[in-house]
Amino acid sequence: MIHRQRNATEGRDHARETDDTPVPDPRSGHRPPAPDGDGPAGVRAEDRLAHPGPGRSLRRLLQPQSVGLLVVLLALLLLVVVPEHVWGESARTPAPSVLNQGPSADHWLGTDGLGRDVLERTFVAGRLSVSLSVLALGLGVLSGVVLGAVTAATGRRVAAVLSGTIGVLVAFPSLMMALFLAVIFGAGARGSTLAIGFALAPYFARVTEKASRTALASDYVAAARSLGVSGPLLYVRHVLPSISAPVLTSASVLSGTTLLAFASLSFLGLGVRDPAIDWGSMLKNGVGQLYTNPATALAPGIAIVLVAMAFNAVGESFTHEHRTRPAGKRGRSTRPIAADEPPRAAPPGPHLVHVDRLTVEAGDLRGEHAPVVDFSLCLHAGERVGLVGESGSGKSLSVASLIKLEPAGTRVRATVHEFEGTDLRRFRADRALRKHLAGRISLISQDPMSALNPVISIGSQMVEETVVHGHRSRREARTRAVEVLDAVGIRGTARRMQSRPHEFSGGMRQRVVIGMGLMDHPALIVADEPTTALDSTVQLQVLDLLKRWTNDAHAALILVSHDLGVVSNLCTRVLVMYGGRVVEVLKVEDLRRAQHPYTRALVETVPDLDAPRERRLSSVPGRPPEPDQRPHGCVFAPRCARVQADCTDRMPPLEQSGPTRVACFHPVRDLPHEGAAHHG
Amino acid sequence: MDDLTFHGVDITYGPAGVPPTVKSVSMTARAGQTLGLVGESGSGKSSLARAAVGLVGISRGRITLGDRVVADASARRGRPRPSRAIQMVFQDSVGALNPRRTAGQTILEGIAASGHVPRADFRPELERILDLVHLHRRHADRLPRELSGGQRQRVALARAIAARPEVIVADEVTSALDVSVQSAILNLLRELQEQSSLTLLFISHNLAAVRYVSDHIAVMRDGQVVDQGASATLLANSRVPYTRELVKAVLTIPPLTTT
Repeated sequence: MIHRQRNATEGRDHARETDDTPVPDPRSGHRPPAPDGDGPAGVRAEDRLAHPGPGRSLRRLLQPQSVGLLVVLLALLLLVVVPEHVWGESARTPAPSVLNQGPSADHWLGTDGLGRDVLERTFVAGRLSVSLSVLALGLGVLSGVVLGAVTAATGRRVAAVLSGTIGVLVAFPSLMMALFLAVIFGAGARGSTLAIGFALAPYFARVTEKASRTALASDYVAAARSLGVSGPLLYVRHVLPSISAPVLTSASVLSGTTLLAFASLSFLGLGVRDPAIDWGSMLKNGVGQLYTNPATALAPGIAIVLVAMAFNAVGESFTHEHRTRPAGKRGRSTRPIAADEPPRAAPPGPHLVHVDRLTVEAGDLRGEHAPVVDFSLCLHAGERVGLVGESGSGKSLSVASLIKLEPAGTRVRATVHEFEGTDLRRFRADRALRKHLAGRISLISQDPMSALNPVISIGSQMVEETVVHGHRSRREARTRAVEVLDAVGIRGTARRMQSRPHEFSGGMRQRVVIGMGLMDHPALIVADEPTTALDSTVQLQVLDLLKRWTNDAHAALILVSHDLGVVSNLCTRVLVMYGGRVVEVLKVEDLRRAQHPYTRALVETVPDLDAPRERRLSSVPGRPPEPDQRPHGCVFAPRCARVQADCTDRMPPLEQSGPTRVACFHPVRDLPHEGAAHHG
Repeated sequence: MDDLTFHGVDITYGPAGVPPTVKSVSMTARAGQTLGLVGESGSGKSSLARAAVGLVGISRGRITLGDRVVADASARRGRPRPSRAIQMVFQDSVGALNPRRTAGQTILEGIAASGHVPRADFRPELERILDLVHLHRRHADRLPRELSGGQRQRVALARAIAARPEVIVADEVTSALDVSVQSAILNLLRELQEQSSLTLLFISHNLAAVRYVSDHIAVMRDGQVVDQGASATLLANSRVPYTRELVKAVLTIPPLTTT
């Protein structure tokens, strides 16, 4: 029910700006307010705000793919306009002296049955082929959008009839529809254009109807309605704009089909007819001479293929544009990443997990960057550690890399990376190690539904996993599954084993996932936001379950959460992450005397049931930096209320300071609630 | 300023005969105060919110704002006309903003709906409202996808404020946000409510957040209000077991121990 924001996944081009405090920005395109007496300023204000400004669109036009698009469009336009003027006459005039000739210097592609130059005719034919296809496509889009929008807007009964009709029409192959309609509208250029246009309409109607319904059901239309916006204005403002993207996509997909459908109709004699020529009618005439001069049929055929490709390319670039507009500031300067250090010999210790200076590097469109830097953690058996931070702080990626589940495209380096004394850096190559680890470490994710196969019964899934890992036989596994489900508090285990995931409630599903993770007696449980999607009472039960189980089985737990309350409830130690780095490590009971300004502020942002209501919650202004735009020096410096000159020189190392280990040059040492946390 | 009152409201989805999702709810959001509505998923709190702004029809009872009727089950069938006096802010700030309209355009729609501002004053009014929700003026030219979650929620709030409503219904407005951003939005809600003496219906599953924002609290479970009272006393000593269970489930950071 709760969808957490994943800031890191959204491309943005202004990581420096703050969330709360308006800061004047020289880069901003903000215009000063209109001076008094500037006529109807309100209307203009709205208009001006409507357009992002000429600079942006000009820059977009100059991008390479836009240039390519312009070239293709220009070529198509020239094909429609120029050949008709240059060769129009001669392409249509029969020349009895040169009937059916092969290619020669005078006629590069030879001549047809009436002695007309094939190359000239191919070019001239492009005019009708291209323009009529575009016209038919336009007609299809227009009639389809109107039909679809009407269907979405009308009452339930009428809509059902219209929608059903559209469905039936979509089921017909469009070429068959076009043939049928061509008979009705009559042969010839106009008839076939109408036929193809209306044959395409159902597709666009279906797409429009669906997109309109989505928009009509959205919260922003609900908000507009409660503001009193209704009728045509509601459609023009909020519904129609949202159908442009899907309609454009379908148009691009269907553009090639349209060209082909047109050629087919003409080929069958239902489309363009002499003296007018298009590629379909040329093909029709050319087939007869396929053996004397293959060019008469090949030339229009090749032209159809080329232009169909051009159509698709245009459509593709339009839809691509729609999907990926502003891609953020790309190609930011590559952060130099420290060269590999020789691995130090780690003393074999009692640690279950021992990771030192784990760094995750990733390369994407924005260039090389390191989303996680110098992550270190020592974990004893049975210990419960929490990892907290805002979205995008790198906490999930750190633990995923820790248990060798780093996403594709990232590289993990660490000076020490051990689990139960085994060096995990040779994990990729060592198959036996992987199988062994699969039972020793279990992962519980935020969304239990994504961890479960929806079509297989719970029992089979639990059994299958452990059997595949080779830890036990099928029968043993079944016994163990019943045992585990009992332990996580699922009643009627024998029956429940047969149930599929959707038959469980959210809390029950998460219990099942936890149960699955416990099948193999793991030594380490990694729980990534295990209770974020659950109700608070259910959350408490799941946390109790995790606590009880880790105690009983003496398993260690790494809990990733943005919720300090959850971490305090379950863990003994907390690692606070910010901007890909661990900025503070402390015991849960020391949270309120945390020394890092970020931790301190984070603690004071959480509302509780004891503090006097009059006191305002503190907030951390601004937002965390994107991985590729982290500042030089302390990562928190841009948002820190205590920032001083030396903070921007280098990243402070994690050092012991009183009860906590903190990465800050100026840690907060005074008592809580009188500190430097920003109250806003 | 008038009270927003629910008189024995039922809400039923689907065909007749289906048990109602919300069952005879009666409660009042006092004028100029905040009523917190807390409950778990499926308790019917969002249905009530949508009924208050006319997005969902009610099957029994009435919702009134002072002596004006907002929704009435005994009236003619069909969706009620939404009243401008009650505005809603949604949980999902992505879905609540038209992705193709800038923040400024979105807020201007609210200003235009208020009917109080002559067109010539739209721009200054827009700037005033941006200031109210602590957004910079340059944010007005941004599309929703160019804003952060917290900023988007501010824009949604600004649109509601701009219409100069008497009541704002805030449905889980912070649950999709990071904790640090959540506190900023909670502060903003309190600030706006105090400045413009709005009536606020604040809906959340987060009891601590509800307590922080609200003067009165109603607890919902399975479509019914099981407990209500002043927030100061309700959470401390309620006799309703479910309320106590909810209070117990609030996880907080341990207080400072003197060592």
